[in-house]
Amino acid sequence: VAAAFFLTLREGLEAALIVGIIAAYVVKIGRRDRLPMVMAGVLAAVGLSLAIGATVVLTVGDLPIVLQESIEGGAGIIAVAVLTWMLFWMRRQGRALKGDLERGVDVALSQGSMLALAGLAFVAVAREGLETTLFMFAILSSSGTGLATLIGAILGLVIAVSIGWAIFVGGRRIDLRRFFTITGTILVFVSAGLVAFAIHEFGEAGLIANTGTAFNLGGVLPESSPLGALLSGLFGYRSAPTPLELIGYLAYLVPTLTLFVFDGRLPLRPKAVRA
Amino acid sequence: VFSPARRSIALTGLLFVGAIAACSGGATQAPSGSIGPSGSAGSAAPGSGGPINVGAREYAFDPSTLSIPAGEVTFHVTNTGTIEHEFEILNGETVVDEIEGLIPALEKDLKVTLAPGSYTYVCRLAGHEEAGMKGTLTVTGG
Repeated sequence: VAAAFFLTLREGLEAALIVGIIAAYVVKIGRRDRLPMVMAGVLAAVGLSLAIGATVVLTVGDLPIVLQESIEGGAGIIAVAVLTWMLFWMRRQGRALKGDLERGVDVALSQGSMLALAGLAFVAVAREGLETTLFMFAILSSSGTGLATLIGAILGLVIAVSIGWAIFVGGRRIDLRRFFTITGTILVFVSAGLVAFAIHEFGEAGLIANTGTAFNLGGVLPESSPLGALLSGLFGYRSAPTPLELIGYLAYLVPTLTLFVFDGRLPLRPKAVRA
Repeated sequence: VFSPARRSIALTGLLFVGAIAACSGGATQAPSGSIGPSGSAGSAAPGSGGPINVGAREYAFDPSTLSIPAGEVTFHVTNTGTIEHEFEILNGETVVDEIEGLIPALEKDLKVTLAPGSYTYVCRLAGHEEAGMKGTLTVTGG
């Protein structure tokens, strides 16, 4: 039960985090009317995951590894691209706000930007949705796993959604500049985790050589522990990454974070950055 | 706008899962008790074509040695332990195919086509392989 709980929590957290941030952002800039578009992206991803998952289970039983890992790796790369764009786009919007930070000002939100946000919500959910759906089907068709396991898995998803909800609610309370800084910094780490994740998936698909171990924290902080599941779900933490995964992670993280934090025109106060 | 939408996702999910559970309730009588004795060597009967049962636990596979003829084969992997495991078939360091997210008591089938040669099967969750979750798989020609 606990294993199922932590597995679905791990899968659902990142999507919940991204969707929570997008939703909070849309509301904060005074475009609550655009919220249904974000939700449409989420629902479309859930629907698509269930549909493909059901089709796969009823026909071939399971996706061939190369296909599944390629889809997940590809979705990871798309998510990194859109997330990175969103980071700096949000930052630019934040700079433009200047003194109007306290009240929610209407920020110009073009149709294209809005579609990109809804698209990001879609990719974030769809990326883990298919795997989670296949996992649910496996629990249901396995004789050894009982109702308790299923409840554990559903509970993991419920907790993940609740955390996304908490981010949405909490995000609306803090002022806009802090919101940009905090969520932006978190999203840089999420994105870096996605880069490492994509490398991992492409490696498993056999498309690139990705072997070896950079370091091994499996004995200290495995992904199956509560904190490990949380870090893995949010930031793509791996207890034993390969050298290539570590390099990919740092190669994205260091320049992006530097650019984000020390962006010349409006330096952020270090104390805000640390939060 | 947001709250009812969220609620409806959760409801839809629950209804869906409930419906599947109701539908599959009678069809889940998979064979049980077919896991080989711990640590023994196993081999598929020639031409049997049936699935090869493998148990995964802390920290070993049962059996830990397998010999099978080349061609398409189905591994029926059951987690008989108490924590999550994986079942990855490796050719050298390349993953041929794998089962991930194998939580306790979960069973999954893995259908692969294997050419003659020496393979290993491991659990690549951190520390598991080192602790003994590693088996050797010999695929014989013809």
